[in-house]
Amino acid sequence: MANPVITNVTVKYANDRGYKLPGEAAELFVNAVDSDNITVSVSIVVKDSNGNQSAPQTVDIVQSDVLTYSATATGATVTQDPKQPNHFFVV
Amino acid sequence: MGTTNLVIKVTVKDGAGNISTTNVNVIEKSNEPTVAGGYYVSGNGDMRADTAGINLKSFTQYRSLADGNTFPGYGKEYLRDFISKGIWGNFVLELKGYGGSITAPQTFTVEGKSYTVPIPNMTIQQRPGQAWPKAYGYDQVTSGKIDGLLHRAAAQLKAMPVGKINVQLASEFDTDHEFGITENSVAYTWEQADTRALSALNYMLDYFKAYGIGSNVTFTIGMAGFNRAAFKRMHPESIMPKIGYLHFNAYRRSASQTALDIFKRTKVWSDADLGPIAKAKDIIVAEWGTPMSLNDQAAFIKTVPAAIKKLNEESTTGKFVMTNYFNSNDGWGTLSPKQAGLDALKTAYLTDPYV
Repeated sequence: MANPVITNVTVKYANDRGYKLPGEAAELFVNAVDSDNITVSVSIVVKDSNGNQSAPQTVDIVQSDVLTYSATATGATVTQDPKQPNHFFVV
Repeated sequence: MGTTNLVIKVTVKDGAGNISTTNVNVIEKSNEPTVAGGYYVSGNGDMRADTAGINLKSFTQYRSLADGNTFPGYGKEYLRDFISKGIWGNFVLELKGYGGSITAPQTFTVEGKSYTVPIPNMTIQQRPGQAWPKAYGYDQVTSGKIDGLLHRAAAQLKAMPVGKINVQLASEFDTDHEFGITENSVAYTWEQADTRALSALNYMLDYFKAYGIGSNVTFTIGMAGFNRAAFKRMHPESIMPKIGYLHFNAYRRSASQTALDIFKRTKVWSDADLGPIAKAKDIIVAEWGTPMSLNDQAAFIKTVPAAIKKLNEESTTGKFVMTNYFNSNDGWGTLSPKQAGLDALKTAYLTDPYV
């Protein structure tokens, strides 16, 4: 079992200013993947009553753990967005 | 604005308890101003080599109104480039004639208008046992006798690149007046000299305003800031709308003085004694320094950012916005060893609140 991979963390500042002011919130968006995820490829074929058959269409379904996210800081308050667990507010 | 990097530790965990972490920087800037870290080399020396790579944001220069070229100054064309690049210029403009060389009236033409300006009639800096420098007298200013000098300076100032320029009128009025002055051989006390200087200041500020200098140019009253009563006398509320900033210099005298001590002294007097308009003005320090004789210049210089940051954070009135190190040619602040001093300035000016 391998550790999850944090692919990137994006920091978004108010007004695209490039920094936050005291008391103002900056937002963090964490992108991560479960490195143990399994990809299942499903091939779909549609056939009519005459036996005519479509070309197969393949869909990949990723089976992954539910990842949990957390963030902490010294000198700042970090709050997780309850509706979007990979989204944080830093004040 | 001071800058703080808030380090956020981000953790991601999968269903089996496997964990990954990464650190992310969130930049927070305080509401405090970013302070311009600057430099001056004695004798208006070329500062380009010394300041390469030190995050130079401001500089000081000295000009006499008697000079034919006050802005940018004779042989100082590179200062136009500095200002165009956003480096804030503090030009000290003095009534004092440099080198005692003004022995005859000046006749010249500015924008088609011919002037003849008399020789200076004032003595200042009357230290016992020393030659007293000559300066254009305050009565010569208010009677319009040196309008030609003001016109010449104003025209050159207007022709400067549009960038931040502060014109500091006189280097240090308190040093000039400390031992009294004479005008037309009439002696005046320190207090009387201050009153006369304020009249001259009002005249000059009104002259520059009437001429139509751009809003990129501000003015300050040059003060050493070593005498509390004089600092108060020279900053009446009535003149405040005409000036952009307060000004004083900050020198360390002894090993026991911290950076906080030297910058705080006049600031405390300003906050306690001046009117609400005056003390709300931000502060320019055209000269600061620490003596080479104390043998700890580099270490001391590195303590300055924290001192300025603390003073600005604590201030409910004006903030420090410019501090220019004076690499002088005497004991005041000569960087020796020079490279260690420049390296320390480089470190200081890359530290909050200078970035």
